Amino acid sequence: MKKTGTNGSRNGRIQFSVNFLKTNFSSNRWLLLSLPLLFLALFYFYPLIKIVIMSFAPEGVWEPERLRQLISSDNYFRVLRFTFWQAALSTLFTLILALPGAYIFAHFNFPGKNMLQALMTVPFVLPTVVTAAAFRALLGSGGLVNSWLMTALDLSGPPIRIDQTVTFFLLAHIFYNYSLVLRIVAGYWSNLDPDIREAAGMLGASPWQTFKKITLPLLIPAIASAAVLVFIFCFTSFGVILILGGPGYATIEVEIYRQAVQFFNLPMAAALSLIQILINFLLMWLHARIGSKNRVSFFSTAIGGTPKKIKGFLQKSLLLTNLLFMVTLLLAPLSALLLRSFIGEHGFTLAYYSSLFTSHTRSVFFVPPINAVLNSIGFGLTAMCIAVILGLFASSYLASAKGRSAPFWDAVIMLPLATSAVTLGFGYIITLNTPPLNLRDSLALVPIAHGLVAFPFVVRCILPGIRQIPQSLREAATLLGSSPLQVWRRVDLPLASRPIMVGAIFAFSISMGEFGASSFVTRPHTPTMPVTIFRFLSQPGDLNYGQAMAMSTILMLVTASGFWLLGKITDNR
Amino acid sequence: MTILNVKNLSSSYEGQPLLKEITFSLKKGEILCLLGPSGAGKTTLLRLLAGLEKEDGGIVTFGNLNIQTIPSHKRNFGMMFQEYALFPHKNVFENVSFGLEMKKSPLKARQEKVAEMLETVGLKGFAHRTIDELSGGERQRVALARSLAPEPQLLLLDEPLGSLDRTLRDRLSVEIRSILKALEVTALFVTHDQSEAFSVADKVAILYEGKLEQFDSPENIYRTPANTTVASFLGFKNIICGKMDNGDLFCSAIGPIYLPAECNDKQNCHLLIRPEAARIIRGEEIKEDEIALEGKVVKKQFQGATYKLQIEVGEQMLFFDLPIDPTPPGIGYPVDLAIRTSALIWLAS
Repeated sequence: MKKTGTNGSRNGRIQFSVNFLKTNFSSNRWLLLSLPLLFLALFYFYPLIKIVIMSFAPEGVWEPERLRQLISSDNYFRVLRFTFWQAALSTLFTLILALPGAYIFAHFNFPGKNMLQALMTVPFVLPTVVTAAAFRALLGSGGLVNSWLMTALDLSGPPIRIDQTVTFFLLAHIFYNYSLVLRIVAGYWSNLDPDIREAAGMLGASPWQTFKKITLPLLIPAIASAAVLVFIFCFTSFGVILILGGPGYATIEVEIYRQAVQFFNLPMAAALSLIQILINFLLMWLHARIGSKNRVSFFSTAIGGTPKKIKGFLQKSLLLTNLLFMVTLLLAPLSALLLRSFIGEHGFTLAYYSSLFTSHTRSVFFVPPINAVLNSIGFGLTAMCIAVILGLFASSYLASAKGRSAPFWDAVIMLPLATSAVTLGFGYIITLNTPPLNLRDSLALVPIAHGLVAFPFVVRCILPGIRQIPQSLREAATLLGSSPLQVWRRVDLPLASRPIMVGAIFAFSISMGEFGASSFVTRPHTPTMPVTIFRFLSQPGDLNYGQAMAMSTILMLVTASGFWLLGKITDNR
Repeated sequence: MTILNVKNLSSSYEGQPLLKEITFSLKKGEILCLLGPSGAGKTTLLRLLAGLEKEDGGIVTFGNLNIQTIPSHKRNFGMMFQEYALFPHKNVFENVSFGLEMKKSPLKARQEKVAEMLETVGLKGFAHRTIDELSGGERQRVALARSLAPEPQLLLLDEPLGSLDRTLRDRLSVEIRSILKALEVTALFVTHDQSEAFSVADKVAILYEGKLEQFDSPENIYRTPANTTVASFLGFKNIICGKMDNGDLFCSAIGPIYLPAECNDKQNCHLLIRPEAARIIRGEEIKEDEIALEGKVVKKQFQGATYKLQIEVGEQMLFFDLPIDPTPPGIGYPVDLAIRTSALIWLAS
């Protein structure tokens, strides 16, 4: 009897500790979520709601008629149609070009595959402004290819004239999204069970029939997912179109910027933002649906399976053409950028770099342009802290939340992903420049915007890491006498340190390259690097152009080293 | 009538030999089990016959036709994969009818054939289920129905019961045999489980490290394993090494015994004693076709119908299955055994 008694009380105590952990934690858990939610409320929902209100009531009075007029204007329709059309075209071309590459990556081993795979992440993380500058450096009227052709063929004008045409930014979109499609589709393709293809063959299907009836239908989710993602990116494309398209072309994003910043037509900008928000939500919802149903993931796209060696003439020539295409597409613009930053009208020069350090009276800046580098790094570090702290809190909550509430809050946290940076920036200037929350002269606005943009990415990095920690470890720590806070500090935090670092670097890189929101909220005296590059590119003259190239090269190196570090961290696993 | 002829078939991967000069033939309607430990080359052999891999050398003919240049989708062979490889985007009906579709058979005929096949495998009424809704055993049946529906000339089965639990395996292996026999299908069945092989097969081929060690009926393989490799793979533990003295005295760790000298290499003989061949004697004389051994019980394990006894004879441990009546002596007690000479087999090394 006595024995059972002690046993009972021990069980009781364990039960008590576990209950204590649970109850105590559930009340604290809300505290964890409240900070991210407060941040989202102030810097995401508030500006967005203001945009909606301004669309319906431009002067503070309920005037839906104004909105109707704006929406039914020719200009509005033209912008909308163009945005759709260019996004669809970009998506189509990217798919056509990237699918053969995905096949090769999924099925074959070849020398240099790992290096190429690493190289392919470069465009994905490259700031849009840098990409635009790189394409100008390669194929613009003052670009390398044109100047070579002019010297070689003794021409008086540039033979390739795609400046300010659709072709120019379509090329940039393909450059941007090629590796994205390749990664998603190749990852999914390589994980399809090869037995399934062989089973079809054994049942009498020829290789072509097998592809048509088995492989293609099974690939559809991955292709659809990639296509929707590319469409979203091209639909919200801003920097590339602003810089490469010129005044003749305007997507919704570009038009919001022009209406707000150049014409001060805030009601029109608000009406455009409204439609942009709606379409984006719809597309993101579509993407999430495809992804969740078929386990296609944009965040984990490792290429698995057992790739074969390349055999035969057909396979070899397929491989070679694709590799040549990839290397040209990836390397040509970037090397052109690098070269062009050192080559002036009279050959090799360091003038572009050195002039970044001086403050010209005639220049668009009042301070040496190199200050932008320091600004960007400062903003980047602040944004990183914001995003990581919010992300850590939100992830800790989501990892321990049970039942139906977790997916709901997860979706809420992901919402900023579905909102274009330009709409966000526009929302900031119409809300955060005026009381009650006047941050007009505050340096905080840029890091806040960047932190918000990076926050969902950071959650996606950290959350899986925390979820992987077995609950039994926490329970063991509790029974060894740790309080819930100690458990979090001594179990969760150290075990999730790698994902947290990955998230931090991600946040920093996002901030370094962010242009859409920055173009609204940066102060003239404290520009970021992308904003500076854009200003250089919009000014005439060789020095401005060269400085844009030099600054882009610096930005490219900063982001590249960030991702090199990221690779180091994830490789050490 | 011999239908499948395999001669000197070899294969390798990155310089490592996988199959070494495999030669055998199979009659129409026979079921052959390829039995061997994992890595023995069973699946490679199956995939070579299917045309999914390329051989290094050798000849494979099927019905007097050399099939080595025919691509796998034109061979009209069926294959059942280890993880079934059912098409996840098609339902049960569409999976089973796929092979018929490839033969361009009309919808009506396909519907009839699919219904017939589903009934044969005991899945009547499952036609419109999706693959996700099926249990492991049901998937296995769908895979069987799918591979049988186009009436293949040869059915290849790659560990089709591998991922199922023991009870289901025992039941399904018997069922598969009766289905294959009823449809008179010639089949090759890969497994690493000997009880499965024995219950399914007409012929068993033992593969070990890419070599065909023995090819015979299940009974013959069990009664007379060809060599020490086969015997130890089949789980026989009582393999005794020794040499012959004066013609018929076998000298080994269990002590000298007089035996007819049927061992080839007199200096290096291997004698197998099957575990069920012993009986305990308590003072009585042994029979004419028996030999006597004496030892000490080291371990005694109750197994239901039998006791498994580990007995130390001379300097070697021997294992015997003995009936529960009369109860064998306990651990530490001496024991006298009589062994039937028919259960003594000379193995080639």
